[in-house]
Amino acid sequence: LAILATQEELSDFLIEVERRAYKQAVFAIHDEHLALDIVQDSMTKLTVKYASKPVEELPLLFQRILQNTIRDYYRRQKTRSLWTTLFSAFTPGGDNQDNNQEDFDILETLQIKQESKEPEAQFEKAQLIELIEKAMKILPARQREAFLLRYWEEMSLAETAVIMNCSEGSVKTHCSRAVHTLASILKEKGVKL
Amino acid sequence: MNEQELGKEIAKLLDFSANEALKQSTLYRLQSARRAALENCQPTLEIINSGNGASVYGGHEQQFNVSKLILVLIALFAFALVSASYWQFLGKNRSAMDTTLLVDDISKETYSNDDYDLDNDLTLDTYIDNVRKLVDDFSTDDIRIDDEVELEDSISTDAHLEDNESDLGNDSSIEDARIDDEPVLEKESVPTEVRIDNELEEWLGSNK
Repeated sequence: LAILATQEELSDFLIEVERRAYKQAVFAIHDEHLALDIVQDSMTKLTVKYASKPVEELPLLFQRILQNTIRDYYRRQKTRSLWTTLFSAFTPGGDNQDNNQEDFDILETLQIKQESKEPEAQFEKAQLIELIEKAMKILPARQREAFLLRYWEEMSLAETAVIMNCSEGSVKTHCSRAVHTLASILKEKGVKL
Repeated sequence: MNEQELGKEIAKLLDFSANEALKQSTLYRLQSARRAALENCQPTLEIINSGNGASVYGGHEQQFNVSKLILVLIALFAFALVSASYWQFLGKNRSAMDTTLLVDDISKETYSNDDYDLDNDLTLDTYIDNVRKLVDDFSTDDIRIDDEVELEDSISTDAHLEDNESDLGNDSSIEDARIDDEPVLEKESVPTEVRIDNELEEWLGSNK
């Protein structure tokens, strides 16, 4: 008999996955605000529709919801971009300055306290992370999805195939190509892991 | 370094960036998003009869059932069939009413009246009687027409003979001939029902 998730367990699960989910969305969409919206949408869908599911099923369900929400965003964006390109000639420019002022947030200026390590090593690590994150954004969507699910979320081949709605062989292929692409990018920049 | 090791190494770096390199504002927004999502959380516990009087708790939501859709479609089809057949039945009734209008002595005003109901006035027996009556009327009309034709033929021959004998254009003689023949015609064209009645009376009288 499967034990149903309580509200506390659901909350713990969301705390555990929310940051990684946010990063996944940022890699896919390249926009922090939209990524936050997508994560919130995914969380809401999970809590509204699947709150009564067992705890073991939550990671798979949440990842599936997240990936579907990202795909929905792509579809909407495609339609929207068509209309915006059609009517772009009629929109007046010069609102960028106001938008930048509205987007300013005092909390963004605050940095998280980090452990005091050697500053040179910290800087190298930060550069490496930045490089990897850029490489993740460059990766094709399916390869990035497969890589993140398999190595970051540590899901099995079968689970990844279910989330991606493809065969296990395809997941293997996507993962292999993603790792090769990342390795070649790192190699170009002279980074050796 | 093979594929898996490289992948895990990159995943570690990504973990580090997710856990320690996020802005405070982003973390705050994530927290508020989580709270908002949990506020919407309403685990629905329903008692579901699982058979043999046992009940289990579960959040099974009502799923869209294909069989229900099929049942609804069948019901709609049956309804359409019944309404179509009823429509046809009404059409047949209307044609029957037209027939009775020809047969019966119903006035047009009665027919055009919406309150007129065929079922109330027209039974099968009356309908058959009406048809018989119509057939009888037709048969008597045929007899009359035949007699008239014969009469015209006889008049024309007599008229020719008289023309030859007298060499006069006596139209009055033709008219006289017609007048003389007409009572004979009336005798012959007695309705069959009357004749039957007369024969029946004669037969009864002879038996007495």
